[in-house]
Amino acid sequence: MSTELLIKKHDGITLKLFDAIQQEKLSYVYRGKFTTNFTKNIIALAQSNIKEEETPNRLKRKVYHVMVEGIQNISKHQASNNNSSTEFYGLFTLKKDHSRYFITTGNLIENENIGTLTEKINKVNNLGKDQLKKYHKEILWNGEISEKGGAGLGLIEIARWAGSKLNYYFKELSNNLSFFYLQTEIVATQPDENEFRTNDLNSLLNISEIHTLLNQGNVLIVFNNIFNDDSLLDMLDFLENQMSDNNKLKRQIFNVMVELFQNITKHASDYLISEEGKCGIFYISENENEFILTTGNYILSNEVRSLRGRIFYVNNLDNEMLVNFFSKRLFDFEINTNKSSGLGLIDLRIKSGNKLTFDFQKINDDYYFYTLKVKISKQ
Amino acid sequence: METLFIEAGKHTPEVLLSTETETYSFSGKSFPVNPLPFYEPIIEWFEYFLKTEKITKEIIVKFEFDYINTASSKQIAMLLSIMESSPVNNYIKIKWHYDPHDADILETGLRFSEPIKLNFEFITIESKSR
Repeated sequence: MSTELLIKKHDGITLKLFDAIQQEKLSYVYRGKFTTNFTKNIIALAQSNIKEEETPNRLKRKVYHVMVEGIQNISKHQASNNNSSTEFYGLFTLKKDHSRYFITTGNLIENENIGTLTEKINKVNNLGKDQLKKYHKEILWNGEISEKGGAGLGLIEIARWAGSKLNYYFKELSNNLSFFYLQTEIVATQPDENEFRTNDLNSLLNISEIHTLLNQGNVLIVFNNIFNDDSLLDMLDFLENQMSDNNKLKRQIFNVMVELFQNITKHASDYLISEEGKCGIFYISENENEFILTTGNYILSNEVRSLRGRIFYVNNLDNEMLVNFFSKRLFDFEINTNKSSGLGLIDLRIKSGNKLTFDFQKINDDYYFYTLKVKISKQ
Repeated sequence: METLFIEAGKHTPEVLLSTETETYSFSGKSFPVNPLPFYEPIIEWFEYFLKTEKITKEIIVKFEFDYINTASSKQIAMLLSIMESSPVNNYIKIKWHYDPHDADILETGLRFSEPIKLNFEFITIESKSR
């Protein structure tokens, strides 16, 4: 296959996703089946993101509780359908806006349940702090417990821990089914009675759009954060726990991920940069035959030509030539600036066993958005 | 010569370089984004050691990596090249340990042993899950 065929003509999904997720300030987005193991892992990963000193312990505890309740809510209710098809996968996101945290979950529900659910949410939203506490007790002792164990207890818990209103949105999919999105802000200081903050619907509409994009690309996890050594470790831990069944595949994904992550850390331009590291997006998607690891980041226009040339070059080498080329670069100490060794791309080609797919999308005269995809075959 | 001991970090291997116990070993993971600051003192240690110590018997340098990124490979390549160009290179033996289930570590070692004219020995280690 000629390399030209591998360049998709600006499908732009990566940039679209990056922009949307960046705008919403989502650090992590997970889409999938919310199994117990998965739940444990995403909580651990999200927690690693809020372990910084600046976040007070009380807030951390709150975030933790809202996450647990929120995800349990998904896992309890997602199963109510026989629709295990991937287009109905649930969603979990953590948004961090300075020291404000928002948790949003999305899951499939049957339209006939929308009425009851809306009632429950409105009831919770109309109660103040003390009233909620009382209501919680009441439900706990007298409540009608539905088959799923949900008399709205989960919702009450979420509202109590978060200290904010429950913000929700139903997106109709068909006559029977909708996605139910639930968002809460975790408020650091306990608000006065009746002074819960209300969130805006816009955020939920955006997240619902993101969910649609993820469904289109069958994306499982998106990392939109600071790319540095520590965040890499967090992601690797997540992956380690998440993929326990196939060691060889896991190792391959691990290897490719390290090089891709570090590629961003080293090469992303300063178009968007925070104090802690470079910005970019990393996501993993899956189809029947392969996992696809994608990175997207800004680069300077004047770097596009040589980078494109280098990818073309390694794409056209066969395995033996790749190994030789790698050795040549490895022992060429003239290029020892750490940045320009070019080993990363060769290594990605060798370790994935597939050609690299890439795209450069012009942003303005100075910057391009660079997308790199590495496919890893399941067999 | 003064012993150089570096504890294993989250992204860096444990390193022990001791003339006293005649131990020269690297073990664990090595995948920092920028490995230069980590490997610089190690390379300097070896340069000084090979230049100043009177070497009259075999030196066994042991590598036991679980994982190594390309940027670290480059630093190891540098280190091995320095050993190779030393007048006492005949005394140096590289023991490259690898998990038989992990083809990558063996391949990495083979990539070094091919161009580098040092005595390499490849040793399998008990498989451990990563």
